[in-house]
Amino acid sequence: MKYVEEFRRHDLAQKLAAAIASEVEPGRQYNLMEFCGGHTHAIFRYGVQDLMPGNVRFVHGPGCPVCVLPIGRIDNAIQLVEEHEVILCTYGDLMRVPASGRRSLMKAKAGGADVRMVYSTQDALRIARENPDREVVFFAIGFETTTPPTAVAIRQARAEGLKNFSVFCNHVLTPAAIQNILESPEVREMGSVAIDGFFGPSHVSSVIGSRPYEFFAEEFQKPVVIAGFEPLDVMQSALMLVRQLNQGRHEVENEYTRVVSREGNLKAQGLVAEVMELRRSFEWRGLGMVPYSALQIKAGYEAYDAEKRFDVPAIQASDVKGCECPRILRGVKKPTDCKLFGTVCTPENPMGSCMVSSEGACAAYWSYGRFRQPEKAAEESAA
Amino acid sequence: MATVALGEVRKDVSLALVDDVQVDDFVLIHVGYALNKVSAEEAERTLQLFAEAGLTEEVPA
Repeated sequence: MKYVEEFRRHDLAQKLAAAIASEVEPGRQYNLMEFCGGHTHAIFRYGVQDLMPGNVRFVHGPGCPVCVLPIGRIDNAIQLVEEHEVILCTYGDLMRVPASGRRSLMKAKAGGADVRMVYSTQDALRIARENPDREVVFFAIGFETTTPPTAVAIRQARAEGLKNFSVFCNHVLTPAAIQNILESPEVREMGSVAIDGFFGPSHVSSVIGSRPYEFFAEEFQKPVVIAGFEPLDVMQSALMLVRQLNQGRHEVENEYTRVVSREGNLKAQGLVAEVMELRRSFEWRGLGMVPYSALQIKAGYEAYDAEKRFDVPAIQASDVKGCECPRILRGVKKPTDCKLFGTVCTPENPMGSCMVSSEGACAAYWSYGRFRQPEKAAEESAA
Repeated sequence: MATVALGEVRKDVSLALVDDVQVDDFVLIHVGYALNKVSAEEAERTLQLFAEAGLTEEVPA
């Protein structure tokens, strides 16, 4: 496929690996956080970590929308479909996320609840049109990439006069999460997490542009390179981060120029701003309550807000005992540090969200890295 | 709506989030929506950057 294969070329990967190896300063550690789960996946699937010198380390961030959704919100969704008997439309990767009491949307569906997996918000609208006598709720999750499609659906529902369609809104914001990580005690007090630079997300940045990262680069003095999702993109961006760190710079650079501009997609931003507004606070798995980190549906569109239309109580729920998802999401622990990893927790039978989503760090380690890790870990501790 | 080709797969996606998209353009798609156009010129430039890796900066022999 054009614009994909060229960005996976073996010869260029070798060349970039050689360039990185020759430019890193031997006595120095380069801890580079990839915020986005898409990058975690690319790094593991293509073995990018193995092409890096020993002192360049990828720290996996919380940019997996399924992983950061707190369990209580999935409990809410199960209540909507079971108690309020709505048709609940959801993206597929939410189906198997463990909820309280070992439940999940998949199990609710198996028990007869009307949960429908959709590919697009357009599918959810179609289901609402086809079932005028049923309430249809779209379980909206995701970062800035999935938010504009939700906004489009809400506007379209209003334009069409669809009365039975609403949205359970759980959209979250990337910049707020990055700021939360940079301000966390683990990072600030130079303790358990060292982060020297960031890979900026690909698709999120195509919507919000590169400008929102300028604040972090300046305020926290950490370089940011917006990177495409293909392995060569990640490697080129690692090289750009190494160069910035070597030169003592902390700027926002853009490797993914074929899609990302400084302003981003203004049309998409405008649609979101029309339909949604900031929540004062929202709970993230792993990060806790993060101020102004999520969106809710604006007053003028409250007819399409499932939280207004139905009783959606705040539910406090805790993770499965022993599950290290929260620390893994903050970059404090690696999946292989978790006692449940690969023993009781596997993609077939996930205990924590990081094992469910293909973007989750545990799923990436399990799918591509579980035979490699012990060897690499030994090498790292020896270094 | 528009039909996009992903290799051999064809899929209808929404163009609600993009302007000025023509037939034969490449777009970035996500959850059934085109999020952005892919710039052919910039893609070329980035590939060029990869090819030049190691040549653009001082590299010890």
